[in-house]
Amino acid sequence: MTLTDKFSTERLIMLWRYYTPGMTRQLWLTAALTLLCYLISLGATFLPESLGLYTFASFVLMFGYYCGPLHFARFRDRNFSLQLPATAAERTLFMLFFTMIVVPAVMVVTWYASVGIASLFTANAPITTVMLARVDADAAQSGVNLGQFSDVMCLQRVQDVIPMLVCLLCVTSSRRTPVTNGIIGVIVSLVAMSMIGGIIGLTIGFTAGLHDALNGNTIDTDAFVSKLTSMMIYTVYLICVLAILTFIYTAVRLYRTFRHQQS
Amino acid sequence: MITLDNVSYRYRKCMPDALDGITAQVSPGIYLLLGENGAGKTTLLHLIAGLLTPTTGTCDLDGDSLSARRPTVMRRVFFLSDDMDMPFATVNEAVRRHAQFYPTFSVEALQANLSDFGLTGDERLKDLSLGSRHKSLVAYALALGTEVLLLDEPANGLDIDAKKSLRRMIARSMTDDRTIIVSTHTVYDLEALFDGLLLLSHGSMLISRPTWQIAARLGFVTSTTPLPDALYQEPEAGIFRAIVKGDGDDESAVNYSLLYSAVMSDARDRILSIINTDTENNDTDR
Repeated sequence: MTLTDKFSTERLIMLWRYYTPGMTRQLWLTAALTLLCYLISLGATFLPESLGLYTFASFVLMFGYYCGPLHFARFRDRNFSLQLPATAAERTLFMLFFTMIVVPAVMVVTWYASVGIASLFTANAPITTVMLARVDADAAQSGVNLGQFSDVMCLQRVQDVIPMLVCLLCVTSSRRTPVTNGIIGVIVSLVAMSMIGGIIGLTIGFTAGLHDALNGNTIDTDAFVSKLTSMMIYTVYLICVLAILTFIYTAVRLYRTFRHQQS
Repeated sequence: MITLDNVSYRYRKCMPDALDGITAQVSPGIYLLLGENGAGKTTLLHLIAGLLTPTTGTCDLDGDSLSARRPTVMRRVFFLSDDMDMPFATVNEAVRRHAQFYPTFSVEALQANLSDFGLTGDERLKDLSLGSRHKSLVAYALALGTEVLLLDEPANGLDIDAKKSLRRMIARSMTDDRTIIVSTHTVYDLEALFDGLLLLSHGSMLISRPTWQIAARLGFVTSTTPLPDALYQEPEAGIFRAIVKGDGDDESAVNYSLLYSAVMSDARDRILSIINTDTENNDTDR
């Protein structure tokens, strides 16, 4: 048993053990949700018009990812947790680790395990590859090359941390109804990100020449779309910056919350 | 020793102080925390447990700030209220996951406490009655062995035998350096245990004294007729229970309920002036 007030990995492990019962339930739930979404997505690949169902399953999966911090939404044992002999830094690191590493890891492992098992039975098992190929084919028919975009597509996953961190903030700082506040936080952040994306998209569109089309002038559609997609990379960079800033803000707020949280 | 130095607490800026200028030193022993509803008892316990930060003043344990929530201090204090829920399925699971934070925890003490209550620790808490769940929590809290244990209404929901067991448990768990503060309205259940009294009223500390000092300064007597020189008296079932000025030689057992009633009556000033004679010295040590 560590007897100092400095950061202690031993106490970090003790925090892990303390939260394990609820975490275990949450992780099983996360794995089950991931499997369900995989099966829905797999079914979608066999349908002619599959993008909508795939998108729905992806959204449900991601919503489960965003709501990972709800595990920490406990009210009645608030004083039990609040008086734990652990530093604010240890609590912050533990919660960030669980939310940003453990929950996504369970989802990834479950997803790719499902891919592995399903690949024994169908060629459609790697759903993401199958769906991207269809989107690429559709884009190619329209004369749009998405290849230049594929290297940075993975960076878009970074944006998923924003609603998740917002959920964590809402859950840990709410005294009453932390679950409701966490879910509302996720929804509000998704709406806000969509609005920001829309504003940026319009800005890019007008920069690429949309105003010419609106004025009735003839534009080169292929060139317009290519210019549009090439400029969207900057959107991705912006989202990455936003995600990093959100992470830093969340870490600082969490630390201050645990340091000064009142019963 | 717990030291409260001019501690005030206000929940919101627009609200009056829940505690106002509390100054006291609480030495090891078992203390009764009394006060009317809304007096600030639970607020005081939260402050001592480090769950609240004083608006003004300081709250220390042997010179270490309680509101700083340093692990080395927090592991010496535990607060249990009657509405707390243990976030584990059973008490034994709490031993595996929560007791590790408290190096003074004793498995033997826990087993003895649970046995006194007729429990094993493997019972699923959500399947237990309110009283049995509370027994489990109290047994566990006492077994943590923290230097400071704060109990808010520990006898709530306990049956008669369980209250007797609780008295034995608290007495058994006491050590020379342990402080247990019990906030309760049902004083009679644990009356024989208390080494000191902390009495709050409307956010102010009226009495912060060891029992022996109160017993030396006040006499608690019964009479079949009203006593003309009583500081305070009240009829009860055909007799009069009265508080008289003590002579310092005979120390009668302190009747906390009667004392509380007296302090809440017109006799307050007379009673307090006798008890708090040396007001510049609020040390509760004997």
